[in-house]
Amino acid sequence: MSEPIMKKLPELGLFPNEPAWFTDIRKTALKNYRNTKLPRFAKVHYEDWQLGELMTQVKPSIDQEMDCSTNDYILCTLATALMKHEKLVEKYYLQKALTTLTDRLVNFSTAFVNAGSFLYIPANTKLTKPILLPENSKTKFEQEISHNLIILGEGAQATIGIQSNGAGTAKTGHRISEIVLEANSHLNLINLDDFTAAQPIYLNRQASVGENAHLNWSIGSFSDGNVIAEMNAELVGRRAVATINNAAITSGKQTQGMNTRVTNFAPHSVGKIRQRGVILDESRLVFNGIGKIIHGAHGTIAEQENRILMLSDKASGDANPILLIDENDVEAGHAASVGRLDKKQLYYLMSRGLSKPTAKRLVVRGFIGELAKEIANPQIRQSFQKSLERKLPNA
Amino acid sequence: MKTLEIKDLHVAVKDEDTQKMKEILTGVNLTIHTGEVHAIMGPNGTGKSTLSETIMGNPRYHVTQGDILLNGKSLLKQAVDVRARAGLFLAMQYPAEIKGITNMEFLRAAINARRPEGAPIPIKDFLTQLDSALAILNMTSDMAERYLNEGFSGGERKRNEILQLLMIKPTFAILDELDSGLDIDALQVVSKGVNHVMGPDFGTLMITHYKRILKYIKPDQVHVMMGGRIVKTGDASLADRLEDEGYSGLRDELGIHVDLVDSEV
Repeated sequence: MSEPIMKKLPELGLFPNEPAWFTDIRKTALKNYRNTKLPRFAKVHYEDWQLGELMTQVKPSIDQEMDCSTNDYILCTLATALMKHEKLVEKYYLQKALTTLTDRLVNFSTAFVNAGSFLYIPANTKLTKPILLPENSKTKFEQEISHNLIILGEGAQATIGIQSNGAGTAKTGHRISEIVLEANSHLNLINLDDFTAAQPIYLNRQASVGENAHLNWSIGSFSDGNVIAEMNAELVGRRAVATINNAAITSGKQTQGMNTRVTNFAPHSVGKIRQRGVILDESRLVFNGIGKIIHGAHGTIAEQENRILMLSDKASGDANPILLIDENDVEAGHAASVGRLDKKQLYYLMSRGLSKPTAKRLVVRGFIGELAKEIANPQIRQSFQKSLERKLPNA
Repeated sequence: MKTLEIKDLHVAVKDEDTQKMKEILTGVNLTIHTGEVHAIMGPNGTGKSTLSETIMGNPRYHVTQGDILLNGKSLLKQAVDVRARAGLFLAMQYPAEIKGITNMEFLRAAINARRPEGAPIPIKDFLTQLDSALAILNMTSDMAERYLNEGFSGGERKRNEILQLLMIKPTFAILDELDSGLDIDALQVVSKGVNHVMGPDFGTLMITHYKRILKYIKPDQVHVMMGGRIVKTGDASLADRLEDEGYSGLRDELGIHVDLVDSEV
């Protein structure tokens, strides 16, 4: 009873009263979509995951209701923002963090975007309480193709926790996030990914860090299904600092492939990537850590550490550090390892009476939990640890 | 009264270079009751640590003959964690470092492993016990928050082993060269910890090179090991004699043909 899926975009876009400039971006992206290639994730085969394909009819988005703005900040759906804060959206949408539409998935997601949130923290607003973004609703969309914007104005400070565990009812989910830190702003961002097993997910998160701005970014990649994720921070202002801590666990037969990248564009910027992964069962985990220093970005630091712990003979994993440096006056370093459980550690723990499963759990939790300790907010840290526990094998 | 019995124990280890099995223990006999303190002395390379690791159940060591019995029941088929829960404890010479797990988490897990499932120790009780144990060992409470043995100095590690001993309260504790790498002050503190758990329901086996520690922890029996077995047993005065004459003196007196690994005194 399947009717052919309409791939044509409606003339007036998908959001209510969509501005013409926005619809034009869709159209450009749709054109690109037809002649660009899937993005490259080294050592990850995801060609048959049906990403970048429409699973449902293109129809106008009904995602326009939510507006949770306060006196301090704007928080609403992208659709709402296009109506109420069009100038702001126009200033940031694909302008600062994600600026070129180079591959098939990003073009697909831009052409057919049907959801998303918009969070704007004005200049010099210093939030003491964390913002916990509501997960995108499970039932609202058939196929989530979202574009999310987080903007911190100059001198703004915030802690933002985002938990994700569903992306609609369709077979795939696509989610783009742009994170813009204007000069002197400070953001603690925690992404907790708990997507279900049924959906392959494409994540593309792009951050732009301005002069003297700080981004502390923690990611818990604890989804049960197949995921490819780009996590990218661009240090565009002098003395910009970004740290990306990514903790990942794979289990069952899932594959997670992650390109985690920090690019130093500006002098005296500091970029750090730390990835810790645990691989169980018959799953596969690939960390591609990319540190890039652009010519002229002198006095910069680019460091990365990618470590994987393999807990099963049937599992596979890769930790690939890549350093691309086009400047002499820099400090750059990388470390990578794929290892197994340390027998001496297990023996030591068991010699105190801990059963083997409990001992294993402790070692694994220690290995990956180091990153959890970097999350300053206790409430978010707790959620992070809860997700981590859920994903570890039961004793 | 409880009993730990070692009967005609022969143990072999695989040589990592040649991949051949090499016999280290050649028939050890030893019986320890609760309420007693035993010390094993002996030259380097004679199998003292092999004995302690084998009793605990380190899978690297293979028992080729003999038995280890706790209250008459053989432990040979039991894994290390089962032996620990049955009442054995080994204060190790080189405890593993584990990043990301705090001392406190680890201690709680160890205590809870001995309790029925679903009935963990109430946090208040745990903290009370921990505070008193820390006080006995002159340890500050930040030790509890540090990662397990990570970046600990030699002395801190030994203290941490005894902290676990105080918290876990085993029936039999083997202390493998507890005195090595400790200055006099630390040795006294650590000994104080061990003496604190002494009593009619606790037995100790100390492995040591020197009689120094025996000044602080008084042994009921001193055993001398050479060539993979116990060659002489006596009271505390045997340790004094060894200190005077060295191991070579005793070897020659007993007419044993073994090479002492280190240069002879």
